[in-house]
Amino acid sequence: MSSVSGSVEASRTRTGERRSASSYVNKYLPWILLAPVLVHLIIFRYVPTFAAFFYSLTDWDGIRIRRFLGLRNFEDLFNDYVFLEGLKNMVIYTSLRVVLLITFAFLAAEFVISFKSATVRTFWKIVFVLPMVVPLSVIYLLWGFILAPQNGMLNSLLEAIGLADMARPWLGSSATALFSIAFVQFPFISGLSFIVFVSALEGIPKDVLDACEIEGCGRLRRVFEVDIPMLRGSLIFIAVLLVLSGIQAVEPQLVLTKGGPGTATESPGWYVYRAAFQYGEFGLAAAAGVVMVIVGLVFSYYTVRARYKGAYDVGQ
Amino acid sequence: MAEVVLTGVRKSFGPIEVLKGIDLTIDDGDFAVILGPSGCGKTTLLRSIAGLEGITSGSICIGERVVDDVPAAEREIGMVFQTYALFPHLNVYKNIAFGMRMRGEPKARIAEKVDEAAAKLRLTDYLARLPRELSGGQRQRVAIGRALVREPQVFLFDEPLSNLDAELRVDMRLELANLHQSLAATMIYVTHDQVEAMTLGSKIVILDRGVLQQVGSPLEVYYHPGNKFVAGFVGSPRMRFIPATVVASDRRQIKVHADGISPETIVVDADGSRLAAGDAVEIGLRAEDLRADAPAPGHLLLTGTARQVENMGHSSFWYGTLKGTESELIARLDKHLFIRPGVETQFSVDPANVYLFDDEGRSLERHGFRNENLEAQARRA
Amino acid sequence: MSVSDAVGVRRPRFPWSLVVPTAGLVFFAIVTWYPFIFMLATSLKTRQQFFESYWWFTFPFDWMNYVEVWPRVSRAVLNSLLYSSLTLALTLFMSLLGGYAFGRFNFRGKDLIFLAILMLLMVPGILTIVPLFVQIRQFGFMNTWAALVFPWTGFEMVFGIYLMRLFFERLPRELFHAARVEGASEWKVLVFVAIPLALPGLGSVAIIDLLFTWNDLIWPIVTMSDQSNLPVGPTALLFRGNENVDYGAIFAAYVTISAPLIIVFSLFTRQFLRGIEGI
Repeated sequence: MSSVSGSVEASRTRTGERRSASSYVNKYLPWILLAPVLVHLIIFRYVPTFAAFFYSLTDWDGIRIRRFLGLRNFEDLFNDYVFLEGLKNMVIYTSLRVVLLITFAFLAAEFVISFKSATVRTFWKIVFVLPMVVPLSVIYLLWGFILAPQNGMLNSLLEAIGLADMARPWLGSSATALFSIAFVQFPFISGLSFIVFVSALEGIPKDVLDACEIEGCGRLRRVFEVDIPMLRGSLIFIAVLLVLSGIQAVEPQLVLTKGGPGTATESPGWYVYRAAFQYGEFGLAAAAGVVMVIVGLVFSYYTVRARYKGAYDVGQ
Repeated sequence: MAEVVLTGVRKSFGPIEVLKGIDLTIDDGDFAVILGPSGCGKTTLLRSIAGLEGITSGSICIGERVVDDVPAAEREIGMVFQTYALFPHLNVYKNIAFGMRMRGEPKARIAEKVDEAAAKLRLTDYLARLPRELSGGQRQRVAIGRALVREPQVFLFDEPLSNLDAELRVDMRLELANLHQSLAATMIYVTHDQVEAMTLGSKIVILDRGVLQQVGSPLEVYYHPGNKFVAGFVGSPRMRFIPATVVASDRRQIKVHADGISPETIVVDADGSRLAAGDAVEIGLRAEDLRADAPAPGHLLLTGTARQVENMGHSSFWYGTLKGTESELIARLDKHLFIRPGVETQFSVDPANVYLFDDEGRSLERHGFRNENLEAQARRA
Repeated sequence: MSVSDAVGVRRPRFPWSLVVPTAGLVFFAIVTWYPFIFMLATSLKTRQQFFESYWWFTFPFDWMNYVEVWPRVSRAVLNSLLYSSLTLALTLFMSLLGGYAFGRFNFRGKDLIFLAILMLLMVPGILTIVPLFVQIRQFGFMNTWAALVFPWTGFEMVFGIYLMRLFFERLPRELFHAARVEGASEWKVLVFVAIPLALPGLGSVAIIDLLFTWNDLIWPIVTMSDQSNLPVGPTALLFRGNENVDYGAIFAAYVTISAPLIIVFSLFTRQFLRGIEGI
């Protein structure tokens, strides 16, 4: 990426006769290309981002700023039982999702690469990738039906196999609601993680696997001795994505639980949504958003640091 | 240490048969080089011996043991790969120790063995480094170290020098030769580089399209190629062939004439018992056997027109067309000889240096070169 | 030596390494797919058929559910096609421009600007949802395509630019140099060299973008107060059940909503897989 201006310089002298017009274009070309990008990002990304930080310090109803509050909104948040419950649920939900999604996606990826034939691998990839295109709202609605107390698939299944007394309103009971929404999309395979893991596993050089086999490392051992250490980068990348999406989660609440029963499935994302669009507390909502960003940044920092501490090159 | 015996080994990938019945014995302590053009099945053969590929039929013995159903890890082999195949997340020490750790050997013993191997391979100062922090030659030595500590019955090398630059390749070649001497282990080495084959091998195994072409010492395959393929493949520049007709032949001598090419009829000391007068044969010529200075009676006489002359310093290569056939001819000339393109030159070849092949490409065995001297030389190599 | 006195001959082992993965994947596939199959089966049932046979297809199929929901759902599908394709076009255009500028040229402040753009990946939608909502309202975009297309593009192009920069950097530089030496102007290089080469990369960007816009739920709910303007995702929420509801109809709505993208991606499965693996 270092030689481009050099190349543009060089070609300019070569086409010297057209120098005045084309050199002007060449010099500013990257900026001309970037102009629409930057304008768009400033209007629709940077301005709202900085505005969010500013508004988090105010009492704002979305139309006019009533008062400047300093850090009062944040004080209120951390005195609000509902917000704190949301944070607690967020930690549980996010940890569950990260562990479950990575475990199952990785397991399925290991299964897929056990087959040598490219056709068989492609078949399984398609089987698990195709459901990705079903809209998320439909998937949540389906899971709402699976977990429904009456006529729901899970309870019907339990009845059918004679475990009727295990049936319960999964989403309607405080004891199970949070775990139930974490369980949505079981077995969690149709998603980006699975494809990333399969690609990464397929990227391990064949010679390394052969060496592993000759040195007496069995299939199961290979997973721990070679695959996991060599997939460290992908695992952490996926973990960051999952944590960030877990922190922001609002779909389960929007579609399935409305944060209930009680505060059992409250989340900060749901809190932002309600504060702004149900109660008109735009300043408070912005403050809650800021808290979530800080949590996300802190986590990402530690994860990325871990990523580079253990980094290595696969290429030789 | 052990011998390796292959009996009727066949291997197919789907409808394609890659190995078409290989019978081969590699003696204990041999340095066997499997040589062949790319796609000839040599790497498949090596991987079959390693147990990384299952064979379709036939049998492989290592030492006293039939290993057909023995997994790679239990075949007591060490293997060095073309790309070294080091584990990028493990440092040099752990890479070398990997196999012993897999077999659950005690820590103290692992440390002792790794240190010993590292000392032998001059890696002691690098044990804590990751593979990406090493040079190509060092990585190669780590890969050898990993194979070494297992004390394998057989070492397998899959084109281990092809990823190194030219200078390093020469160094590593010498190092491998030393290693073979000091370990006296059985080694099987796959390459397409005939210089490696000639310098390293105590036995060269030449493979083409899944069929064994010839097995022999380096000098044997050079001076007594079994067929046209071997003759053409071993030696650089390649042997050239010109058509000829048998005038007379018996068990001791063959008299041939290259019509329209050479005015002289030559007499070659070779077994012509399966030939009759009038049979078509081919004369094989190596570039270094063409002489531009001293035509002598009874020599094969050729006239060629130079197209290009490459001066290498110590000698020069003459590329031109052979009068009478318009086919290409190459001669290696004395460094003092300068010939300009377009000039006609007369070459002579001593019949003792002529190779003969029948119309099926089989070699007609020459008497002159199977002497005590050559055999002894081969044994020493 | 002969084979008979050899030691260590083994019988072939039980192929655990194939049986376990197959069993595992079949189980996962069933659990993944069955809810969708159930959805399809139920969408073809009358109320009575639903309660008679819960788990599997019943015959004859009852197509009336689709007839019933079609007027409401078709509007949403058209909306989504409009919003998603506009966003897609704009996102690809921006990603191409940005990726090419960063991937091919050196200019003052390049690293700083790129870092500033990448930082946006760390800014979640939930932070900006409130100020962005107010801003869109001020622009008068509420209830129009613009309320979705511009903010969606703002989100999607960040990753798109990142991906396209990597993509362009991986292309051999000589290709561009050769085109320049051959006398093509920078604009011609962009149109005749860069864009054709960029197609595989743009494919990956397109897939991520489509999945995102098709899935987004909260932003359309916030900005589209008029239900007839909603895209498919939120429209699905209008069909939900309690015990007395007509399951056939709501599942028919879900199937109709999911169908367009499933059809598109089924036709281009190989490309889809390659694109998503290129991420």
